[in-house]
Amino acid sequence: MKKLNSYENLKKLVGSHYMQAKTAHFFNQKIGWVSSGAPVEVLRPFDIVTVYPENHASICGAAKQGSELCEAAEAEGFSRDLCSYFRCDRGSTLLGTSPIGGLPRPDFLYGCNNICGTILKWYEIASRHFDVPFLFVDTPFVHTTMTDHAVEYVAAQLEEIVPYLESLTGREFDEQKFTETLELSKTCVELWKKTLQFGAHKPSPLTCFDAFTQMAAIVSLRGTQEAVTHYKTLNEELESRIQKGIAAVDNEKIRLLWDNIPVWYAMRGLSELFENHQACLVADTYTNAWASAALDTGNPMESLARNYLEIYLNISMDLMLERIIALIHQFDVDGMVMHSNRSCKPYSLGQYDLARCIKEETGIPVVIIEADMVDSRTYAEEQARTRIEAFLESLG
Amino acid sequence: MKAALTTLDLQKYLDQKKKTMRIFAHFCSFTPEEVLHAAGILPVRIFGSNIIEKASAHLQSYCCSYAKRVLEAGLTNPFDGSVFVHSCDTMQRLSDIWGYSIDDGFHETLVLPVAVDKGIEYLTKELNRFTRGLEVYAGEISDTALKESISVYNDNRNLLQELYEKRKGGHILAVVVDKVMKASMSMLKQEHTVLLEEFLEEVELGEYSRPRLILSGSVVEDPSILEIIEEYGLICYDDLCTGSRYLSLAEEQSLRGIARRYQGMWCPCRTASAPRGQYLVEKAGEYDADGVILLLHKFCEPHLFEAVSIRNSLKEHGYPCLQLELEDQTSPEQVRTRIQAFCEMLEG
Amino acid sequence: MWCGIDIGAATAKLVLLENTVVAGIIIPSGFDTVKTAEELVEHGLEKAGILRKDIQCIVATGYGRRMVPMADRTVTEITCHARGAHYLDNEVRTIIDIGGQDSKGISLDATGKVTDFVMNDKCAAGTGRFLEVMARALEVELGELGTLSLKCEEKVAISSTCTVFAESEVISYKNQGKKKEDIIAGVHEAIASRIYAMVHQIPIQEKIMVTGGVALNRGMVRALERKMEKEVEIPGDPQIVGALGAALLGRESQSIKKGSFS
Repeated sequence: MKKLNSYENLKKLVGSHYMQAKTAHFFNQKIGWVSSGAPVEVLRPFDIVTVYPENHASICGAAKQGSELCEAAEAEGFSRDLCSYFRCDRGSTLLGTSPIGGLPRPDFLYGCNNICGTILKWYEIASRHFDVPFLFVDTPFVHTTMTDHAVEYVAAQLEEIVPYLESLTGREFDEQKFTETLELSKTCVELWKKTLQFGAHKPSPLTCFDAFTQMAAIVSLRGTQEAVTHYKTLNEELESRIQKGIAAVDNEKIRLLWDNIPVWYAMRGLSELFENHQACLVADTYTNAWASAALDTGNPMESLARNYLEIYLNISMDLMLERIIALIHQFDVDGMVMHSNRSCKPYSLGQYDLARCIKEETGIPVVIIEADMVDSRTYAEEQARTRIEAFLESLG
Repeated sequence: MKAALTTLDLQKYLDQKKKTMRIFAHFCSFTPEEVLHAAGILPVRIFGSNIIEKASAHLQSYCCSYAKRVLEAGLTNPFDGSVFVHSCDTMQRLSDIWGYSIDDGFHETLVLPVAVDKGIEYLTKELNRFTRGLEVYAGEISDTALKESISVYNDNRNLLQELYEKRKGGHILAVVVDKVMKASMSMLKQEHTVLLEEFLEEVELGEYSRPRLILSGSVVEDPSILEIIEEYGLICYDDLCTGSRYLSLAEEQSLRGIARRYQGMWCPCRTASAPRGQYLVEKAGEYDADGVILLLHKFCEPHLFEAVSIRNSLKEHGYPCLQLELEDQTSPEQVRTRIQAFCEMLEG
Repeated sequence: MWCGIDIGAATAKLVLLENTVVAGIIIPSGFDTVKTAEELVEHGLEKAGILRKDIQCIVATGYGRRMVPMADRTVTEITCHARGAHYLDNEVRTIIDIGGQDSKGISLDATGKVTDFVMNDKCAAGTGRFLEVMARALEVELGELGTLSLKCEEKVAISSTCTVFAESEVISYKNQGKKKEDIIAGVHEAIASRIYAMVHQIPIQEKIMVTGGVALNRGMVRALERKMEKEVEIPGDPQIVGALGAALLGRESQSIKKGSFS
């Protein structure tokens, strides 16, 4: 795998982000634990330090500490069939360890069920453990179309959070700062969208494995200047790769679309496997989930509500299928790899029917591999490898 | 016992009803059955069978058996329509999958709020959207018809509450309670009410003995587990979707009334004002129970998440708790051993 | 004389008790449980030199307890293990029983009463069955595992918890030329962590006694001790603790019938 120079940049960025979180209390800043699908823009004007337990769990997974941390949660009595991000986070809380030494203690939790119902249960447990409030924004699922009453409901909840944050931080809500945050968030999302669109170039200058790493900033630092600066640099690098004719995978022959959360502990092995077959995963449904935002600074709460309601895991399979087919055409892929992820039911249940529809509607083949995002104990590497190789052989 | 309700062949009853009424499948205690009733539709709660063949082509191995069972039922014998509500992640996706693989005349998902308390306004509007959508299929649903249906449901649920009151004084076999509850969830309400009245008059209470158990969980699809448990102890109260979770009444006879009714129903898929364990401790006191059995579906996230804190609070208050995590194919001998050992422990 | 019969998934055990243990017998569980039980009793009578009528009460326990026709009563192996272990050492507060098909953790109080227990789910990981599968994959005798693993130099990490996946992992290590001793140590470690995660749900209080056939495997016991950071006790004959408890329960309360609800 050809490493992007921006990889080092990102490492620094993420490192200093967690460092800032660790020292936040020393500087009298408040810390919020935030779910990946929560409208973080509302917190930014209060100068709150945000950390993302999901991102933290993915770091544990990539460092191959996932199983060990999961075991600690299991020893407390949590079922092995529960989400491994949760088990990993819970284990890290119990043991006080992780590759970054555990997350700092939160002052409050902020989460949305737009990525899963799991967030509700997970954060309830954390809220009881730390004895801190849980700000829950209920985001009704978009079954066929987004309803006006759902938008009103979400916008009203966002309005209600503001006074709480004012009393927590002792600061007044700064409208000016809020507008700036929304602008930064919008710019950041646009830059990220551009990053991913480089994958449409033939040969592609990046693979989804690059995107999985680079997404850390769009998830955890959305609405900040640092994230905007980072993605500008990244896009320049990708632009220059194209100009110099540098491909992420030499002699790119097969172009693929990835579905679902990465198999964090197996990233290297999988990326080499595809590379050896001159196959490039040029796009994925996961990182694209952060690539749409039509934020309207004139009507901020309502536009946040709309944006966060229609994120990828909060929409029906019909709407998912539309987006997948759009990606297939936009990136001109030859096949699709679905990760059937034991830990993520909203992402994985339905894949069998989606795979069938994709084959019928676009004619491209789909392979499904079963794994888990951070719990390597349920992953049968050899079986997955054989399945992928056979799939690539059939395409090649 | 001779009451007609205890000997009723539900399948035969439904086969008969099918000739005169449209039957809709539903899957959750939060289904607005009253609205369907007002539209002249018979809502039938589906439990499926344990032979899974067709559903495996649509659902992964790590999906709970309830979703598999009901999908299998739909794929085998389609209904006139189906109504899902947003309960857990699995049931939400199952609604999508159902739409892709089963061609029924009406398929809708009521997108329930997760935070029912603060979502009453939203929920009332969502119920209204659902009702107007159903009207396109079934014709006008007047306010009068809706009011009447809500009364019919309240009457029935009042009687079901009476049944649960009786359980405090003496024993009623859990399989019998299960049968009464499931019949209520599947029969035309007013017809069930007639049988239920007769049942309540005739029911003879069994001996009050120990150990007394509370059974807590979601859906009990197959009542044979109840029989195994009652070989060793008595189930004096349940905290199940196929039991007490169905009992609460609608105080206003309107869509808002239906919405408010959901506020009083506890479910791990909703936000709760207090931890679940507290509720069970209260009920254990009220029903003079010796211990609690948590009957959970393997892969059922909402319930499995809560199990740890429930067990801890029960323990704190001196109530032993046995967690049974079942998948359809779990060896019954292992399950029996746990139940027997648990009751041996309670007997001391 | 009192008799306890423990029909497990892999082996069937019998204990005859007077003032002390008169006979202890272990035979493989046959396909036909009734026959196995009859065979056990026959062996027992022969060994003790007594007649059937000398036995006052038979208590059956274990997976096949309900299939023992001559039993006066059935009691689960959880209650029986607690009773048996308490008889052997009244300071035991935690029992870890690793059987052929089940493994369990049992908490008991100073009087030998069960206060809490956990059992593995239907999955075979963390049971004797897991060891059997791995022994076969490595082409070694089940009884050799313990001694071999103690010669381990560099333990191999087995990451899969599923028996089927773990077997293929073991085979691939074998093909990579890893030493048998090192792989076996890894297998023990995997089981130990599985059992630890389960038993941790009840309080692990000392003294801890390990029972069941797997307790004979020294390597396995060491791995478990390392994982728990606590020492454990192995009774002289760890396989018959359940049958012993059954016989004891028979002696204590012949009058109690088969269970008040059946």
